[in-house]
Amino acid sequence: MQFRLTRRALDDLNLAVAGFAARPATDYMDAHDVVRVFVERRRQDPKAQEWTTLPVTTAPAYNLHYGRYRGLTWHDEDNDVVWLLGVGWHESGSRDDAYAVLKARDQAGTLMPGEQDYLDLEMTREDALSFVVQVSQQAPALVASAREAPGEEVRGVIAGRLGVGVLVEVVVIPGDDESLEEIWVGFEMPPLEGACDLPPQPEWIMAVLAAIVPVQVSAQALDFGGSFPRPGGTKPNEIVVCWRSF
Amino acid sequence: MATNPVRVPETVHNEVHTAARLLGCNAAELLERAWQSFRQSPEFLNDFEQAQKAFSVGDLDHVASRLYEQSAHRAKRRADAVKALRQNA
Repeated sequence: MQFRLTRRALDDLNLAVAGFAARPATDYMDAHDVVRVFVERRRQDPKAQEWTTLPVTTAPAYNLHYGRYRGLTWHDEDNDVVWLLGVGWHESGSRDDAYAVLKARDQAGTLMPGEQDYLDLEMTREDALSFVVQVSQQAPALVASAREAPGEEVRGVIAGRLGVGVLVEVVVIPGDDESLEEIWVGFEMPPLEGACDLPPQPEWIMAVLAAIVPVQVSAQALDFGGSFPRPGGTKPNEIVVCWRSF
Repeated sequence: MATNPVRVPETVHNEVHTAARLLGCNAAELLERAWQSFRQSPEFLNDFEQAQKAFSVGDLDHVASRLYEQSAHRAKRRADAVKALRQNA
């Protein structure tokens, strides 16, 4: 589960959007007490005992208290994110009270996360290129190493995050010049912790496969889910893909 | 097929189980069918082929741009789903 502040909530706390919007709140808990409290409390329970009924949006918005700060959070279950939607100053009965301001934002359609907030969850174009560059170099190199040692599993890490095992079987047809190459790839799951941003699954698996499956082998020829031909077979949670080419 | 263990929201979990019951199969079979169907979809097959070709000629910008486009579509889809929670707007 991720903890995130919407851009509007960052503004409320005078935190620079450019510096924080693309990062999970767990990365900058020391930037503001409200951020720390938000993460600490919602880690224990992504919902809370008290909530505010919003005037327009049907999602439950949970109250967050810290001193005189008041905030609203939303557990976005579909995307496994808890959002801090906005924060204000509690002034009971005033139009400037945090909850009055946040409800007004809901009416205006500016309280809940918008497209830019969701884009902040994704890789930037630069991150995507960095990932692709690493895949383009490291994935084919792993297959090349496996070809040098047919029948043996060669393991490596792609983009510092993806633990991958590759095994090449070569079947030589007697009396014929042709040989059949069978390539097995096992993706360790989940990805390793690391600095490189990954696209979500299945996009990263598809990118790695596209870098190593020859163009004459179509996606329809990929077999998913076989038993990796190593002692003990497929590991728990491993995604195994196999293809053959002459 | 082994898959990444993820926490599925309760609403989604319930919907999958209900759909599986209606189709006379269990949830795992339904998800396997969905995954197979995705892999056989023209959009996926085309994307994969384009990425294979791009990697083979070193056109890494093409692959990165496509990944980024998918991110942008996903962000829009998610934001639209949030907007759909608005009533009396």
